[in-house]
Amino acid sequence: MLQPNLLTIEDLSVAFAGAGDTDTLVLDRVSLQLKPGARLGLVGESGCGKSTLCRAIVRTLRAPAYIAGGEVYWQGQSLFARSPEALNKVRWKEIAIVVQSALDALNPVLTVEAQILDVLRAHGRSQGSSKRLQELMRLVGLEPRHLKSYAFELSGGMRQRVVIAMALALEPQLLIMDEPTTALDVVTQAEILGHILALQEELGFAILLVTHDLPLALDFCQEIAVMYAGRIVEQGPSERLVRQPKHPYTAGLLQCFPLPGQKKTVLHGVLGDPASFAHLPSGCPFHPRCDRAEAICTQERPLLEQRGEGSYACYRPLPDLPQEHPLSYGDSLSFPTRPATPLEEAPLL
Amino acid sequence: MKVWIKLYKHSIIGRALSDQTASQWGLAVWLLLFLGAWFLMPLIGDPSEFLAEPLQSPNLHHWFGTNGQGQDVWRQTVAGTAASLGLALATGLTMTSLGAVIGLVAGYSGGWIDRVLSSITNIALVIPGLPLAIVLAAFLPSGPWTLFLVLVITGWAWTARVFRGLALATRRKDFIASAEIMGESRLRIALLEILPNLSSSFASAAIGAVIYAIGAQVGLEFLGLGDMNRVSWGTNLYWASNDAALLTGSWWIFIPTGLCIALACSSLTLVSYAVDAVNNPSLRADQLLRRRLREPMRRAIGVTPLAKELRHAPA
Ligand SMILES: Nc1ncnc2c1ncn2[C@@H]1O[C@H](COP(=O)(O)OP(=O)(O)OP(=O)(O)O)[C@@H](O)[C@H]1O
Ligand SMILES: [Mg+2]
Repeated sequence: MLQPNLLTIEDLSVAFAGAGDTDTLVLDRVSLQLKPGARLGLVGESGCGKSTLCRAIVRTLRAPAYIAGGEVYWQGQSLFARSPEALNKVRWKEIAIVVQSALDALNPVLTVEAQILDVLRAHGRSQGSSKRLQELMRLVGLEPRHLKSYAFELSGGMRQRVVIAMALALEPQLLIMDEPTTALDVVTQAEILGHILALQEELGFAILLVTHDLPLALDFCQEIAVMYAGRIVEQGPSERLVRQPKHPYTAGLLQCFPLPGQKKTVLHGVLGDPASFAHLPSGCPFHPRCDRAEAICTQERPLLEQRGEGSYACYRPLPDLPQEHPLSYGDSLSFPTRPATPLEEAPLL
Repeated sequence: MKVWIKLYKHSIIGRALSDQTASQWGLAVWLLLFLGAWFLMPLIGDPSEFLAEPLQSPNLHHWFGTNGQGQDVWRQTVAGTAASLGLALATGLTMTSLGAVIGLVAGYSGGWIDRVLSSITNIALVIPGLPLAIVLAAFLPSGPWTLFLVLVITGWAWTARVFRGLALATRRKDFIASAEIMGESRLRIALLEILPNLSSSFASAAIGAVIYAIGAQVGLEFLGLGDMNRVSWGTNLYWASNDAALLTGSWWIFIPTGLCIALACSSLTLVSYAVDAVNNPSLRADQLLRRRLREPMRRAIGVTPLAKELRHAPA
């Protein structure tokens, strides 16, 4: 607890300017903390603002986005007070982002080697680079001969790994991965995340993993933040979240997946349609889809408050479940590390 | 009337111009020049008539004064605008269409058709335009059709080059593949499937071509390579220089024509901004934000602005 935060996001709001004064607020007072070496998972439906949050941290959102409020502290210092040049020093060197469209992030006319070298050179680390390049390729489980390959000669998973290698090239203290494995099959996904996990143990960087795959996040991260319509609705340790979801939305998300060891049940999922930013319901944005909603939920917006192990923003949280709920998530990390486990032994994700 | 407004708002032009004030002004100015000149043409009388003492400065009888031959400058300006803009529009559109068709066919067909058409395009590109235009204009019988032909011949290649590239890029899209599977002919695919997708690129190429046509046409005529009996911007300026308007200080002879040329070209440039925003919708988003910035000139590239850098941010 005494350890200082690596990254502190305080009430960060992001809006998109519209014609006239019709701005849409896409992130509304989001707060998160990340300790050095921690793994935080950010989950939520498609379009809830996860990628926006990742890019807002280092201010790389494109127009018409602007940061409507809040602060981001990096190692105790405000990132938003920095000049563009000073910000550039932090980007990639200290905070690296594997963007969601990692497959488009590679330059089609340069070899993998040239692109990674570019990163190294831009931050003045080009000496001894050939050894470093080989090492990076091995880190992400690619053969060094692929350094000479162009992006089109690689498979989707290989390209993803190249982007991850680029992100790791400068040994960042924080690695933000925006759905790094969504396009991949589960085996490759497990393999890549296994590599990253092993690397993290070795190098000690922190990870912010964005995904809409809640079981994956539960398995991979020690802590989970659940996002709905641009707000964090619940945050807490994975173990607690899966045992005792407090926010009905979290419970709904958990209902979308069969849990290992669970008795046969009907999966419900989350009924209704995702909230639209243009017509956000008053009060709690989730109330139209919530079966526990009461009068107050439609009028006042619940704020994220620290309660016990973690925090949630809900007036009608779910009651504590009995302890014997037989779940196995968060018990142990079950990612194969290199060399990949044979298929039949690979644990299910 | 309401129906027309609605139709305009939903047309490509209406949508392109919807939030681009500068481009709306540009289009308005250009239309005023073009339509106004054609509207006034029959009303003003013969522009070549020698009707008064030469070199009168602007007065009540001759609003814009008279030139070195005693012709009315106002009449000459109106007639010149009508003739030059009409010719420039025809030349620009023909030039762009020809270039676009050649480029599309080359880029889409590939193979030997592409080889042949590309070679022709490349040859046309390396031949310097204006000197060739001068030579051609000097050889051919002088007149507007010669100008038209000369400008089209020297100006189509750039468009062809651009459209060949666009066709190559569009060709790989899936909807073209499905058209091919349906057995449509190549020419049909090029003209009916690819071209409509490139309409905004066509528009910006056409605007550029019209501006080029105005400049080149005026230039050729100014050099004496047009039909000197015809009234146009270029001949107006030719005669002004011939009569030593600058030396005698008769500014009223060339200022109106010069102003019209400048207005026509710059208003078209303003229109092209709206076309650019259609080609690249994120440009519009960028403008939207830039208008709100306190110091738009000091904006750092690739850094999301903070609320305090905006002029007004909603709570
Ligand atoms: N330029 C823009 N103008 C207006 N709204 C935008 C703009 N760009 C994104 N948005 C909106 O911002 C919201 C958040 O988008 P974001 O990419 O952060 O979602 P996400 O949570 O990453 O979704 P996914 O899981 O699909 O990647 C979306 O609802 C989108 O409609
Ligand atoms: Mg995203």
